[in-house]
Amino acid sequence: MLFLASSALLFAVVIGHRIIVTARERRQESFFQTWRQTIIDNLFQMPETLSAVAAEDTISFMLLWNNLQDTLQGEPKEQLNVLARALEIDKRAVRLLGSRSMSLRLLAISTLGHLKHHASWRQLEKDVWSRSMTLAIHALHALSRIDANRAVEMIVSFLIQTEDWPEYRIANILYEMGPSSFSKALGEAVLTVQPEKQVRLLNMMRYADRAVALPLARQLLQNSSSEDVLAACLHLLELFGDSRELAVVKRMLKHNSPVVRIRAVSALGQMAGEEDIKDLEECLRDQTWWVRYRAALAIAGLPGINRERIERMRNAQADRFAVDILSYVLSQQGG
Amino acid sequence: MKFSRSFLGYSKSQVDEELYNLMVKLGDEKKSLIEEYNEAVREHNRLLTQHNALRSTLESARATASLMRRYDQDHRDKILQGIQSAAKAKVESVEADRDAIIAEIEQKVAEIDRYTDLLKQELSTIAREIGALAGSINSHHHISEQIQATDLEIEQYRELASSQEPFTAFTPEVAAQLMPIAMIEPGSATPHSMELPLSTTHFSITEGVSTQSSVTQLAPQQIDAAPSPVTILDEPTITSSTITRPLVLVAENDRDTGALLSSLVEREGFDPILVADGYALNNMVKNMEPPALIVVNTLLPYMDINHFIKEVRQSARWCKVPIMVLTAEHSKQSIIHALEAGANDSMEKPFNPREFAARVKGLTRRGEGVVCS
Repeated sequence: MLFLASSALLFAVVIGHRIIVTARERRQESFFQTWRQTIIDNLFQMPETLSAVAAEDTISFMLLWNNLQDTLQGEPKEQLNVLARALEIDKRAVRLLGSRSMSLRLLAISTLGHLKHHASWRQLEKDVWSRSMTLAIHALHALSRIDANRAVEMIVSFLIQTEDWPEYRIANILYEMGPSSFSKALGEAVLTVQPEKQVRLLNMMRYADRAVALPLARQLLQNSSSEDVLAACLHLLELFGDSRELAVVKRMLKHNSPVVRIRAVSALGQMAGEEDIKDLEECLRDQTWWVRYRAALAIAGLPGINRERIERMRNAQADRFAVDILSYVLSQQGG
Repeated sequence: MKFSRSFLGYSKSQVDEELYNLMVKLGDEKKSLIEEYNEAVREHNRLLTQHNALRSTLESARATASLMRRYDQDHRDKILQGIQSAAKAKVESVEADRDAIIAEIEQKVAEIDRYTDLLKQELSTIAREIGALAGSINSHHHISEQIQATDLEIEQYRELASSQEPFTAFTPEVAAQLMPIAMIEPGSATPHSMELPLSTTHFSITEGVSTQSSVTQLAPQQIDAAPSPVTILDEPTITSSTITRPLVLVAENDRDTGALLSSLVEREGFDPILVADGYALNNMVKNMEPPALIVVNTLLPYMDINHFIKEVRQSARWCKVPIMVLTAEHSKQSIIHALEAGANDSMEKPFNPREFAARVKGLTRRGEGVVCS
């Protein structure tokens, strides 16, 4: 009897929950259909009269509004902010910051970031050092949108002090901020930390200014003994370097570590000319497959190198591994 | 008889002693032989016992082995039987499932085919309607041109009429030019309508003209309001304004972004057609006339964007349509691949709407895509 009663109760709870969720989804869908075009029209001209957003539709509005903010750039973003302030969404977002629901807090943080709500700075700063990495990253992102210059210091110290930050999320933030905001501060930070942390910061330097990243990479290539740091620096040379870095890169082709040699040969492929083919041919005989493969790809990508020339090169090779890898690359190119 | 005391030199006692010793010796030997014999017999018995024991062990081992073989065989047979019957049951159940799944798939395929046919019919109906309305517009334009051509004659007639001078009948050429105007239903009023006092005594017009009708001069922009000799649909799905506007095909799966792009395209004077996935996009390409521009998201579901672009460039009908790709990845590689495949332009998200609008205008102004493959 008890079993039946509890099953009936559970069933009723499930059905009731389903009804509530379905009703909520329908309401949200109806809201989206109504307000989507209104918000888009607002990008071009603020309407003379604006109907208020009901309290229960606040979340739906924020979702729609944030999605459009993430899609747009430039002046229209400010138009959206004007609309949101007119509808008092900023005040509602501040109230949601104190919500116990993580998803609502994240939505509020994202909204306040787009709104450039300076008054929330302190609260967002606290969230950066919360135990939840998701909350921290969202708060950092919001701070970077509110005031990029002021947020740089916080971002750099966050990167130094925490271990488990996701690279792609931080890369997204830095990409949005633009290289001029953070390059100098991040470049200085790279030189102050231990080699294990240096690698991750160097990976973020890919989004930095070339004028800061390149000298930093050169300096570390001279001084560092960590193979991961050397590999990260060589990657920066691959992205930003030119033929002036050839000497350094060629030196690294003879490094003990295969990781360093792989990066070196990739970098050489980006900056080499026909006169550097001999060095690349040497790499075709390397004991590590990836080095040979990158060297073959680099040769195939050199200007003026066509299929026949690669085939002649292959036929002239005495080393069977070199022959093999050139055949592989030729087959990748179709044939 | 007395033995001599000496027998071959031996005395009797010596012989007796010798015999005695011999007898003792023989006795000892006999004893030892008997002992040996007994020993041998005991050994024999022992070995026989061992043999018997081993034999019985062997027989019992044989019996056990045969029992085990029989058991093993039975057991194996049982297990095999069990496995076979389980496998058979499994196979039967899988076959039943397979048949059910095949039936379901066939049903779904039939539904999809039906839906596709319906969609095709609808699209061809729409295309026919577009063609019909385009024809109607063309004929309206033709009428408009003819009417404009007769403006001068009407003006001339007005002057003539107001001068109250008798005038000769319209020449047949003028009458023929006036015919389209006369075909318009009497009484259809427009802001530009005008009453011409026609008098039968003053002129005659060849066939088909009512002398009492009011001739309506239509300004070109009023053409749409006039009935036309072309069949008009009861409920046209595309308004006349959209027929005159070129189409832009927008392929974007995010609804908000899709609505935004459609609005932006509409503001530039185009009619957007929005699709949300690769299937719908492919259907559009197969069934509709080439649009003025295609805007496509590189991450559209069910779509390999580079493959799609190459196919468009290889199509005889669509090869000249400009293509703009929208990418959310911060990677130049995807843009490079799309441009290499044949796209004309690219934009990264987030994008500036003004820049997007300018690019749309630029691409459609050029009017041509790349050289067809």
